[in-house]
Amino acid sequence: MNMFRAIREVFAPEETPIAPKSGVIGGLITLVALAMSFLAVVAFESGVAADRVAGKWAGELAQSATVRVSTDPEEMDTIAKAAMSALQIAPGVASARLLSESELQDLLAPWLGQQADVSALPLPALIDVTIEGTGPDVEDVQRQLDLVAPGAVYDDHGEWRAPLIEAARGLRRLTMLGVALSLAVLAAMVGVAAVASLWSGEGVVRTLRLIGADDKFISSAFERQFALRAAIGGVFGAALGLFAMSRMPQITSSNILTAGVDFGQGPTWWLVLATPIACAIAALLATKAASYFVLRSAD
Amino acid sequence: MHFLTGPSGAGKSTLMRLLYLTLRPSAGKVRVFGRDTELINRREAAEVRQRMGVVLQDCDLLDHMTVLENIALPLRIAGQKTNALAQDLRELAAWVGLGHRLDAKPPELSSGERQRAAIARSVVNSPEVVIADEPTGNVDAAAAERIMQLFVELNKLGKTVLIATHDMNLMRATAGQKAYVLRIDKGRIERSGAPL
Repeated sequence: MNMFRAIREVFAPEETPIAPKSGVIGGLITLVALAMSFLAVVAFESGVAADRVAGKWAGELAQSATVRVSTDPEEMDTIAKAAMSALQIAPGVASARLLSESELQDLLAPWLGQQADVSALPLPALIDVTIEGTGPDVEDVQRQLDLVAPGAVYDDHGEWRAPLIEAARGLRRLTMLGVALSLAVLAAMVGVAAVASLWSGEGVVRTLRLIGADDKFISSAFERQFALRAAIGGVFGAALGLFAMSRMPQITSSNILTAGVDFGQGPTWWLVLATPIACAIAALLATKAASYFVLRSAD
Repeated sequence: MHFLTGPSGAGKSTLMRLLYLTLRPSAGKVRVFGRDTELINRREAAEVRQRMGVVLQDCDLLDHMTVLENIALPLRIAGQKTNALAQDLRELAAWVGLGHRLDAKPPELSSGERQRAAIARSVVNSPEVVIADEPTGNVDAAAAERIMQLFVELNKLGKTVLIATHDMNLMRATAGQKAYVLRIDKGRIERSGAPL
């Protein structure tokens, strides 16, 4: 109820606000809030998109494994077939498929080109393993392979997944840092603006004190104004950020990048809406802190 | 009704500021409403000021508010909804002769009108005492006389009024009213509680 009243007071005050209009300073706060919320939304959306891709890659890798068979070319077929047999009965393995020569050629195409004749190269045989459930016990599988198919090495992609998972974590941290820095810059700017406004409104502060206003009342008069300014800037900045991200190319067909706004997928939608609220709270706290110091030093 | 008088620089305003707590004593003791001002914290100081009405020479009205809003300001500070008191506020404004300037803003008013608005503001929340520091310093003689009449009327309504002034003519304008004089010079009280 109190919150509803507070919101109504901000957007449709029944009485003239106590603090005079902040003019240029107020305009600057709106502009800074717009820029910072734009950056926060872009940082957040980019982070979420990159995190999603990294997570997807890591997930795909976790659902598959590769067996690499390196042996004499004359024994290659025999060893590969033995490895296939061992894999097909291994618990946790859904299926195993030996890659054909053309598939090997495709894998090497980025380095050797499409026309390269890979049959002349001493390449290992590759078996693509699809995993079910939590997958097989890697050590067990490797032991079986060592018995029936010497030279076959089971690779659960752990080496590849670890950096991807770490990259995803790093991106999450960077995103949060970017959002936090944006809000911190906004808070700092609002703090400076509040100090300037309180000093320039020294006459207003003196009058309010004279007629019985305490620091809390005086501070809240300015807080309300700056929080509203920051919220307005936040709304426009977030909307602009969303628009900018929606214009980003989405290369979803190749599963490389899914930037852009995915409404309804994960918490992004809510957090983007929360940006103006976060801006208002940052402005409110900054004004409160600035007021605390200014009003005490103005005695 | 009390007059605090003395030549310019005697310390009248300093004493007034000590009373409405924008200045703390560097030596000695000042007691307001029975309390040692040294022991009053910031929040309590605001509460003490709500118990007194203060009128200064330079009015201190908020320029972005109308006359009516300025008069109602102490009520807002006290957490009251002023809409419900609109009629009372209009009557108060009419009492100081500003019934026709309710929607005007301070820069549109004459010095005398601004001072009368400040007087109305100082009494809107029924303070126990009204303190005025050179309230007629910036107005012409006719306006000064009218302002003094308002203070006399306030006193008749039972309010304690303390006015700091160096203008003897102003004090004489209250002739017939029971008034006392506190004279100070160079920061020292020369005469205290003498009838006018």
